[in-house]
Amino acid sequence: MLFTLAFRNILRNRRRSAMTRMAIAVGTIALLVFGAFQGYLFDSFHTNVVQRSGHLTVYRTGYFLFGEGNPSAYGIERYKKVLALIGDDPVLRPLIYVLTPTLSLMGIAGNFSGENDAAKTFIADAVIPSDRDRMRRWNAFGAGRVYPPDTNLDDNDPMRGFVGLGLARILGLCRSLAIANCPPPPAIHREAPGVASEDFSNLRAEVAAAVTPNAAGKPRLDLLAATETGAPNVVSFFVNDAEPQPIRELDDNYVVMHLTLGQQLIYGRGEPRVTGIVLQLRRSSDIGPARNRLQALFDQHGLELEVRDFAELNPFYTQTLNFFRSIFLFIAAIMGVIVLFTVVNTMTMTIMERTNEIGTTRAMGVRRGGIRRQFLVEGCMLGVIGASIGLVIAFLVAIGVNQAGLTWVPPANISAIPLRLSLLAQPALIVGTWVGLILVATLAALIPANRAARLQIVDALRHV
Amino acid sequence: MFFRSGLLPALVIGFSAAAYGQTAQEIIAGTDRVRNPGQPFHSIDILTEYVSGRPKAQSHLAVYSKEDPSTRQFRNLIVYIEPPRDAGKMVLLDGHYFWFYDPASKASVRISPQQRLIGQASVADVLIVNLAVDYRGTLVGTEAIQDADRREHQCWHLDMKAADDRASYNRVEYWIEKGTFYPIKGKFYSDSGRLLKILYYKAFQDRLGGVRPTVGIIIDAVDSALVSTINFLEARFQDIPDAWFQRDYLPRLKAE
Repeated sequence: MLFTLAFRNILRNRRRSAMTRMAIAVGTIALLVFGAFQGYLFDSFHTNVVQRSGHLTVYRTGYFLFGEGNPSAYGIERYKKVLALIGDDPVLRPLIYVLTPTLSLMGIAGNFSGENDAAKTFIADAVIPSDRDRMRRWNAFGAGRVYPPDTNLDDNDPMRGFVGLGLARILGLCRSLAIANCPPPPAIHREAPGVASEDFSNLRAEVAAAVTPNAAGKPRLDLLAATETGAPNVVSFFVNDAEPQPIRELDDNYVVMHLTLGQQLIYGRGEPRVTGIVLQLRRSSDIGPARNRLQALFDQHGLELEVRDFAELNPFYTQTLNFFRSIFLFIAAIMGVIVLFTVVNTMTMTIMERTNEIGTTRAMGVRRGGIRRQFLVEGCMLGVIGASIGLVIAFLVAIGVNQAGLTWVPPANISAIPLRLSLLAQPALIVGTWVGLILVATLAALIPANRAARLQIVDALRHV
Repeated sequence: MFFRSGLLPALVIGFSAAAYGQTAQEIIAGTDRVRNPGQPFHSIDILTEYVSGRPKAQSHLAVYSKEDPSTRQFRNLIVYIEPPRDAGKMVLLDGHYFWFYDPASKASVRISPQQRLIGQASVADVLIVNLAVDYRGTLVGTEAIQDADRREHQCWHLDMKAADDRASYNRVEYWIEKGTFYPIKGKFYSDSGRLLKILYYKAFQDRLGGVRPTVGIIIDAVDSALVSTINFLEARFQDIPDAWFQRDYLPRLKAE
C-alpha cells in the first residue's frame, strides 16, 4: 500500500520526477563509467608493472637503499644456489610463474665506429632473454597490452641487446638502425690552440684490425664499465633495435643486455653475480604469502637477503593509483551533492504542493510517522528508479565503448592499449554506487519529510 | 708520473746486461729500473690529447713522485700548470685511489673507478700500471718489433697476468728491448679479453741518472680515434714531504 501510494505520487508530476530521476541516473552513469575505467586502468597498470619488474625482487640486504651507487658491490653471491633454493621450495614453486636473475649495472656506452665518436653513460638491465619474454606475457587480468616477443634476443647469443631510442639517437645509431625522425648528431670540433696536428694513423692501424667485425649488419657499441675491483673493462655489444622508453631519462640511458654479457662486464675475472632475483607469481594475491615464505627461507639458511615488492620498486605505481582514487572521490562527492540538492528541491516542492493533502491525511488520523514514512519512501523510490536507469545506461555505455575498439596511452606507457570498461568485473562498484545514491536520495528526502510531518493540521488544511 | 711504475724488487742484485738467460721477472725488474729512478723526483710533463690526429686538449703538469716504503707503490701528486682554467687543480694518485682537488672549492673528491673509464684519468691508469707488484710475467720469446717511429728493435716479449684483484688490467703484453731493457711497447687488456690501450715509449734520453724514455704515446683501442701523448720535459731529484700525499693536506699545499 505504502509503495503503491509512493509510486502514484511520483507519477503525479511526471516532468519534475523525470528530471530528478535523470539527475540520479546521470550521477550513477558518471560514477560507474569512471569507476569501470579506473578499475581497468588499475588492472592494466598493474599488469604493465608486473610484466616489467615481476611481483617480488630479492636483493642483498642494503642494495635497495644504497646499492644503486655501486651495484657490483651488492651482488648476490652464489646466486644459482639461491635460485635453486627458491625454485625447489614446495611452498613457493606452485606460486611462481617466472623466477629469473637480473643484474643492474651502469657504465659508458661508446660508438667509435667510422665517422661516429660518441660516448654516453648508460644504465642497464642484464637479463635472461627467454625469461624476460615470458614475464612480458603475464596477463592475469586480461587487461595488459600483449607484448610482442622481444626484439629477437636469443638466450644463446649473449652479445645482442637493445637500447632506448634516445640513447640510440645520442650515439648516432639512427641510420644504422633505420629509425624514423631521428637526426644524426651534429659534429663538434674543439681544438687546442697552438698545438700542431700529428698523424698517428700507422699506430692506430693495429687497433682498427683488432676490432670485432659487425654481426649480421647490426651496429656495435663498446660498453665500458669498472669491475668490482675498479679495473676498466670493455665488451662489444650489438644493438638489435632501439625501443622507446616511457620516461625521457630512461629513454636516453637504457640498455637491455644478456645476463652473461653484463656479468662479464661487471665481474670480469671474478665470480659472476647478480643484483636481484625476480619472482613473477601466477596471481598477484599471493604476494603476501610468497614474501613471508621467502623471508622465512632466508632466515632459516642465514642468507643476507631482503625482499621488496613491485609497489616499493615503482613508487610511480602507488602514486598513480592514489591520484586516480582521489579523482574518483572528487567525482563521487560532486555527484552526491547534486543528487542531494535535486532530491531536496523536488521533495520540498512536492510537500508545498501537497500541504492541503497532508492536512487532510493527518485529520483522517494518520500519525506523524506515517507522513514521514510516506515521503521517505517517495525519495527512496526516486533514487531506486534513477539509479537503476543509470545502471542500465552505464552498461550500455560500457558495451558500446568495448565494441568501439577505442585505444588510449596510459601514463608511463609508450604504445596505445585498447580502452575497455570492465564493469562486470567490479560488483562492489556497482552495488556501492547503486546503494550509495539511493541512500543519498532517501536522506535528502528526510529533511522535507520531517517538515511535512511537523505541520500543524489546522494550518495545513487552510494552506492555499 | 711518467716514471712511476712498478717497483723493482731488490732481488736483482746479480743483474747483468748480458742479453741472454734472463727470467721474465728479471726482465721486468730491469725495465722497471729504466722507467723508474728509485728516488723521489719532480718533473714537468705535457699531456696532449688528439682526436683523429687533431689536437683536442693540452695540459702542462707538474708531477711529484715518491715511493711509499710500506706498499712499494709509487705515489704521485699532479698539479696542473696550464691551461689557465685548470691551473692549481691537483690530482693525487695514491696506489689505486684517485683524489681530485679543486682550489676554487677547496674540496677534494674521490674519483671512482667508474669515472676513470675515459679521459685523462684513464691515461694515468696506463702510465702508473705497476708491473712488478701487480703482475706475474712469462717470457714468450724474442721478437723484432717496430717502435712508434717504425724502427725495429729486438725485444723480449712478455705476457703478464694480473697477480691479484687490485691490478687494473687482467693481462698486459710488454715488449722490452734486449740488452738495454728499454720498454718499447705495451698492450693492455680488459677482463673480457678486449684490447684497451696500446702504449709506446720513445725518445730515450739521459735523465735522472740513467737513460729513460721521454715520450709516451697511448692509443685508445676502444675509441681508436683517440691518442694521447705525454712529453716528459725536465726532471730533477727532489725530496718530497710525505704530507703532500695526504688528501687533507692538499688545500695547504704550496708546491714550488
